[in-house]
Amino acid sequence: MALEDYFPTFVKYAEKAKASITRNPNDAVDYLIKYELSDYFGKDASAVDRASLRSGLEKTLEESRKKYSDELDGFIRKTGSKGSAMLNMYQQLHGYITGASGWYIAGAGLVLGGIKALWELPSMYKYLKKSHDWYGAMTHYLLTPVRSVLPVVGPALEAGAFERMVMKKVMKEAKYNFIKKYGDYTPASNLAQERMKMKIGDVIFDAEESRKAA
Amino acid sequence: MEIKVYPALVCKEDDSISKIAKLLKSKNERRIFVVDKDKKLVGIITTTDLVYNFLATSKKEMKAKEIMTKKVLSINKEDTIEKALDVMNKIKTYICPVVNDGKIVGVLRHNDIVKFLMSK
Repeated sequence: MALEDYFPTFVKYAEKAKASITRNPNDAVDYLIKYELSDYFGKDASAVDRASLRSGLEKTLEESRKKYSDELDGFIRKTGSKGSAMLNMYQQLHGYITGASGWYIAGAGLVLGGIKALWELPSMYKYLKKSHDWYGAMTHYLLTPVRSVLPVVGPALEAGAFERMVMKKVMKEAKYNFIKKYGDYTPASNLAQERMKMKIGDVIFDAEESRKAA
Repeated sequence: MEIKVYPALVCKEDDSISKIAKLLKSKNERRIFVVDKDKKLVGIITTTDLVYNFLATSKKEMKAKEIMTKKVLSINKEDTIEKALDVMNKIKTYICPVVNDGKIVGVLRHNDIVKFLMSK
């Protein structure tokens, strides 16, 4: 298999990864529908079902988002995070223009990355208390030095890294709660097969009685 | 989601065919189920039965038991939906009587079963 044969797969993977990085609730819902919960929204579902499932998903996402709103939108944390990342980007650009040594730029980047990590510590503590997302936190801290020394793009990525970690958790929880609410996905054909085995007495209701009651 | 069971139109074995015809007309139905004194399902009469028997004999006072089809395929409340569809398929109709201990409970319609099977 030639390398170009892998290209479509790579593009799909990149598209998925790009779509997963979002802070916009609508885009997050779109991402979950397209990649994580696509079975529920497939051809088995009618337009009415899809609309109702989407509204259910929007609700679960909103609930998860509310849970982590302090961590996502905290002004003090955000100002410090963005400020140190911007400062890092500035020092890198300044360093390259003035011809400073690479070691100096990387070192300053690491220091600023460290300051940023310290600044985020209280928010991280609160976040971990709520989410127990140890994997997310570990990945975040392991990647912080890498992003801090990467030229220009690194600090730009680092600026929103904390929010991305939280949003990833929000989407994960929304997906989990959605599945909990609507049950595991069963294809309509399987559902029909299962229902065929149900007893008549268990599923009938008196049309006349319900008409009178209404 | 559940399946609706509609009330079945019933008559007694000794009812006359003119009475049955009037009943069918008033209820706008094409079939009537015949029950015995214990209200157990014993037969079925369709509008076709009425036309054939009346036109062939012109006897208005024939009894239900004389013209009814005695072997009525029905399903029990304990039977599965699959069996209900089988019965409908066998008798080539879109309805099926449901019985409980031999007594008629109501009528199931094919479209309601399909709706139930396909619902989410």
